Amino acid sequence: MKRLWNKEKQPERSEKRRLILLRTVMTVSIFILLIRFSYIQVWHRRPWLRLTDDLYKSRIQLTAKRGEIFDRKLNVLAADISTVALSADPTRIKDFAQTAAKLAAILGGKAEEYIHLFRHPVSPRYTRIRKSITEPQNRALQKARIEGLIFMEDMMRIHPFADLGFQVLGITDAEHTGVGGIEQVFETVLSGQDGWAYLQKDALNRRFTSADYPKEKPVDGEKLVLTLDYSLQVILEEELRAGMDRHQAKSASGVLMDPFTGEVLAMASVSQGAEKDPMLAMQNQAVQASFEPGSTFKIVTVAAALEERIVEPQTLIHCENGAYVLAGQTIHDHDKSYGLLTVAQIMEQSSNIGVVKIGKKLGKKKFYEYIRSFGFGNCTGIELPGETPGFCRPHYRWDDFTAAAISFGQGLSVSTLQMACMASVIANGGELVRPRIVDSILGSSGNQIRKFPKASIRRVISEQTARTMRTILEGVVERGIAKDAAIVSVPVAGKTGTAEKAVPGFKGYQPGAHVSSFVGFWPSVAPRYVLTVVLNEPRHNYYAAYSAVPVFRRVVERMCHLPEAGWILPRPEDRPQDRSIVLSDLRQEPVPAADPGLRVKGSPHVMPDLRGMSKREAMLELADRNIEVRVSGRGIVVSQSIPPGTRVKDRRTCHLICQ
Amino acid sequence: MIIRQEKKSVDRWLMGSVLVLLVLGILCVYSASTYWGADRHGNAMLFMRNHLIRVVVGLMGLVILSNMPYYRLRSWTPCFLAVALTLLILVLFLPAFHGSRSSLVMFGKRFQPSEFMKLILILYLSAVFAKALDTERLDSKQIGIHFGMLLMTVALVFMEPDLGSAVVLFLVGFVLFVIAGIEWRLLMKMSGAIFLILLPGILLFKHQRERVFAFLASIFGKGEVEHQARHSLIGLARGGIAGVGYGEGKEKFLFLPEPFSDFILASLGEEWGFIGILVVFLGLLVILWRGYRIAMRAPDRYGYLLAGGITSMILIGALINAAVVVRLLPTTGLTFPFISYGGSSLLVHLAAVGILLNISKNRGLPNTDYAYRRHPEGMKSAAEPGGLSRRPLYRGSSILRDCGIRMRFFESASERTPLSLSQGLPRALTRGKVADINVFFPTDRRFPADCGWELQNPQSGIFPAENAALKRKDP
Repeated sequence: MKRLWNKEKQPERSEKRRLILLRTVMTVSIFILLIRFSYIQVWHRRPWLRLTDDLYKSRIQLTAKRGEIFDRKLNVLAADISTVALSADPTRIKDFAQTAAKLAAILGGKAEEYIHLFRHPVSPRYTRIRKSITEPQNRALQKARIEGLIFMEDMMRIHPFADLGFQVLGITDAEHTGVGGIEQVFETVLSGQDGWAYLQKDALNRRFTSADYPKEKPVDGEKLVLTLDYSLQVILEEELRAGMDRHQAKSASGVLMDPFTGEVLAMASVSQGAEKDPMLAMQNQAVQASFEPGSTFKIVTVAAALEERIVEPQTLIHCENGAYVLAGQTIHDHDKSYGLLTVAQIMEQSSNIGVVKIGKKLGKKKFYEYIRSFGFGNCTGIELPGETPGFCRPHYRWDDFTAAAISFGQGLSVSTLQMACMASVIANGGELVRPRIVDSILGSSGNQIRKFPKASIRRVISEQTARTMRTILEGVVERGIAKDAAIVSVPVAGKTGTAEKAVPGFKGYQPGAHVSSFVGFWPSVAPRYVLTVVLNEPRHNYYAAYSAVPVFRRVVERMCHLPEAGWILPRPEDRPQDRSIVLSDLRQEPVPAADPGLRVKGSPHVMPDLRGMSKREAMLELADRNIEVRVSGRGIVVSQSIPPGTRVKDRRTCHLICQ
Repeated sequence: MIIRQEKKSVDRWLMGSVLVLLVLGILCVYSASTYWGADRHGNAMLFMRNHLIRVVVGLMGLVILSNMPYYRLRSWTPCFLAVALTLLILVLFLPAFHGSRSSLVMFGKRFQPSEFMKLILILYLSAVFAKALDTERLDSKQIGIHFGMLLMTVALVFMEPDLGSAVVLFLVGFVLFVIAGIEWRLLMKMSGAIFLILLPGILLFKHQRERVFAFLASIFGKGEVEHQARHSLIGLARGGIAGVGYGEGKEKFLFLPEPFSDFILASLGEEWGFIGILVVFLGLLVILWRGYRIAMRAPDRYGYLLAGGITSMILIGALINAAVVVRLLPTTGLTFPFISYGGSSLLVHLAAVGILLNISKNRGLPNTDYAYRRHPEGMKSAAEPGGLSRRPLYRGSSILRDCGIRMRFFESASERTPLSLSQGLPRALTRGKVADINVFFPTDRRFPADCGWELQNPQSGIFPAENAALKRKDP
């Protein structure tokens, strides 16, 4: 019987054995693979992990916000704003023309410029399009979703007053590092601490933020308060430029400073052709360039002679009718010839022969000591880079003619700032102070971290001599050669100088090349401002009386028209008591020790500036005043309820906040 | 004797491990594809969405196939085969996509006929081998014909050119030759032949040649490990034992090529570490164990071959993919079953598991399909009233054979009144002790009015009515 259902329809034993064999093969394969996986993942990871070091992430710098720079009234002169830099990866742009057209539509400019950028990238995958784009542009670009663009957040330095005082401030380079000026000198203070972060990178080297990696936030830089005053700086720069243009001078520089504290209120330097030459534009002529001072230097000669009591203002000196032979060379007075003149008249008429005779009486060694004592031949120590010390041969290298030339300001070189310091000595009563341009450092929250105090270097001449010199210099403006500087409202004192320019590298002077300068201060009786104006190679009417003096006068006039009536600074006696420091003398040769009595006493009725002092110091300062003190917090005084300089007549309470 | 109904359900181990792999796959595809999708297509969820849709469609196919008797596929196999071969030939004339003509766009979707071909080849070879083996031994001529058929499909896939799929297709077909019990001697000859054909073939196609040579060079330490494989190994090494954490993988940022299809194991190994890989391989081991168990217990040879072939297909795909990921084989472009993104592969594998599950339902069961095959003319004629029920008889299951009960059919009921299946059979057999006994019958077959069947008495071992007429007819 044939059975319809039977075992035959089932797979046979031999077939099933095949299946068992297959199952074994598969199982063994699975275990081999598992062993291989464990080898790679557990036992032998290292060689593969070594390849991954920087594969997935790339480190970027988070630029710290560079500190702001303020003027003395806390106007912002330079500040950082965050911006978006736009770059592109040309390899990821499919259609140059189309992308360029889109960019041109949003950013402006011609499409060809963008195509040029794409065609000539800095590196194959990177081309910078804009250093910064505005927020609406950024939004529009993000919206347009253009392939291949790279947006990077960055910091940008802005100057709200354009290039006002920019030789003083300096600039920042592409790496956001200060170049020149304050930016360079205070780099460490301003720059802050950059942070960093890691970006996720994909295989095409595109980066995007990822929360997986650690990062360090940047610490913003500290802020600087300068002694510069915005409005005075504007006036000085404008007038110097006008003067330079009027006389077709090569360059012009000027320094306006407070003779008592050494605070530089304005410092300007303009050059012809600066627009074309950025290096020239960056140069701060007021401190980096030196020139032969000419007649302005007669102040030093006469002041030294007066101090040494070799001459009196009324001493008569014969001026040899305009020609004086010394060491085989003839010295001339300018245009006129004079007979007997008093010392004061010599200054008024700026007689070379008269001054040479005074210098001769003084003696080379003494004269040299005074030159160095007035600060010539040394850097002034202002917080600006590249300062020139000027040049003055030591006295034992002088021959008679050199000594004579130096006494009327030829044969040595000085900087504009040094001249201003010299004038300050006369103006403030005989004391050489270090000029300074940085007032204080503020922390990121605006608290004062450090205050730069007034620094006296030494006493150069006595109060008496200084007063005599002021009278003489007042006469120069009133009666003498610098009559044009006279202003109706303010009595001005000063001295002109028209020096011949030496040929660089040769002996002798260039015909027709002069440096015209004016050094002055006002009000002449109780000076508050010192201003030096120097014009380099002015043409027609190059005499200082016609070139530098008008510039000086214009500046003084405009300052008088300021809302503060020109009195930016309080009167010396109203000035809060400065904590002056005494600097070690930098000269090689011994000079008289600094007078300890130089400390300018603050008036007991005026509120001093206590900020930056310790609590203890502040209490001491207020001890003999009619002021009651209440202190909160500990540490350094950061705020005082009565502003410094306020006159305090009745007994008042001052609240100090310390941190 | 008490006969109890054993409710046969699908193989839960198998289903469970497939579901675990699917879930792992969905998680991995999501993590690995978002950056890629956002970058290449501007839609981070694109691949994830596609994958989810395919998983749902595939699971629906799985459920349908697991509830449909697998032997019904037999009659459709020629139809499947014709369609698949047509498509395979058709793709050769289509423009290339990703350097190969392996895919075909139909109804807006991209299909890979070579993936479907794998399953259809299994269906075809199982059917022809089962048929031949049920009647007589296979002779070498028949084997030659079937082997020729296999070579033809492999050649078509190879010409796309898709070396990886061609190799897998060949291996899957070859497995069926092995488990069908073909003599070793013949098998050796066949494998020798394929080697002789493949070798010049590999050298002929530039794309394949470069790949293979680059692989060989890197194996012998002379060449750079190519970019793809290097990043695959880096990803695995980064994972370590416990992995870098889900979603924390870095290789997916376009470093790994195809991080969510071909190299999904590398993404998985990076994010879940060796532990994740272990889970995947555990799943594979369960599939291996249950799949071959289902084959062993299949009710008939067709089921045996089908289950063995399907299980092998899943394992071969998985092992080759894993071997590529760990740089034991050159890059092939094959996906990992159930985990990788890739519609055709996912659908085919889920369908295959559906068939496997259906075979598991019928484990240990005599299949009356044979009866039909032996007596087609009788069964094809229309059943008359009073004859066997025309209701579908296949539903449910039986443990007849397990109980030692035999069943036989007869074509004429002249000497015996046939029992109505719906009423008579259970009571007659068990006197009410068995709740339900169903006999496997093809659903749509109709029976002659006088055809009949009877069950052997378990106690006496004799059939109630020996049919003389039947006796006579039998040779």
